[in-house]
Amino acid sequence: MRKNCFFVHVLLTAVTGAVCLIALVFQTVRPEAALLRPSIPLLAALSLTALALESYLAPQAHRSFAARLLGALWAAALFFLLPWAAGLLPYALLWRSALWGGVTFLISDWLFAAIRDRLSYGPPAKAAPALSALLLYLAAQGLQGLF
Amino acid sequence: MKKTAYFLPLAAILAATLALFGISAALSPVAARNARAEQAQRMAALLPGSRSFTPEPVGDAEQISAAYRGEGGYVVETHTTGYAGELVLWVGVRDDGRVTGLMVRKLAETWGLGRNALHDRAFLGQFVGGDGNETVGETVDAITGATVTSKAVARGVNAAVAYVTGADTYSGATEWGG
Repeated sequence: MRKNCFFVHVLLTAVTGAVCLIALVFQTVRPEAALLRPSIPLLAALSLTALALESYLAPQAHRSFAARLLGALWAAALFFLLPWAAGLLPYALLWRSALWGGVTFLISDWLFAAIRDRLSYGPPAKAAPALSALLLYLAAQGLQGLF
Repeated sequence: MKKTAYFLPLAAILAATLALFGISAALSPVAARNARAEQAQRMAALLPGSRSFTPEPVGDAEQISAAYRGEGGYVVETHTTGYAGELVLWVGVRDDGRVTGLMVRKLAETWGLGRNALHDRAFLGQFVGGDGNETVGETVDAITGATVTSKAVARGVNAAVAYVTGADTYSGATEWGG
């Protein structure tokens, strides 16, 4: 598990599945609620959470560029299947969620690794994954409305 | 890398998909019941004095996606385009064309700006009692930093009143950027 470069997708499944489940239950109990729509910041938050968890749980995992591309496809499939199974989104939004989710995960994965590696020296080393995820999430806020 | 490395995420995705599918199916009767109850409650609040509503045909009416006939008026569902996506309104309109209430049902606007239309009572309250000739910047003050969203709400309200009264809804002052 420590060197499984696709362990992050198990984590991403868990995180996204939990969010979908919470949204499903909330929508059932309060149908009038206006739920969050898929957006780049939301997709980035899910991706970065999984990446940060992977850094703490499987710090030796390393992905090649080919693995990252394959990982983006996994992420796209995940961001389509889970909201579809929960009945949260119409088909048009599902396809867009999958496309943008895959791209967001690919870019987040690459940038997260770069920033984390640079912060992994000295005092902030233990907090490097969390800090990297937070910085990238804040940067993703600038893309709100692009989706 | 072992083959299990590839199958593990696949198994996780499939398991999560099946689990969510099952939970969604199990909760769907509850969700439908809650949605019907909520709909009836909201409509009664939007058109005071009416307890029962029957769906009305809307034909190809622009910006109107549904209409419900109540006692003394209608509750009209409108859809317009805001800054970041579709904006759906429910508007209570009496037979004489007066707005009795409105609520935002769905929107995708920016957090802290257009999304405030969901709960900004001061903004939404401006439309109550109106006659469907609302113009942002003239008869209605926009939400700060959310002029496009405000105009989308105004278009929705005007369209709902026009559906009830049969008036022309076009107003250049409520168009995007106008």
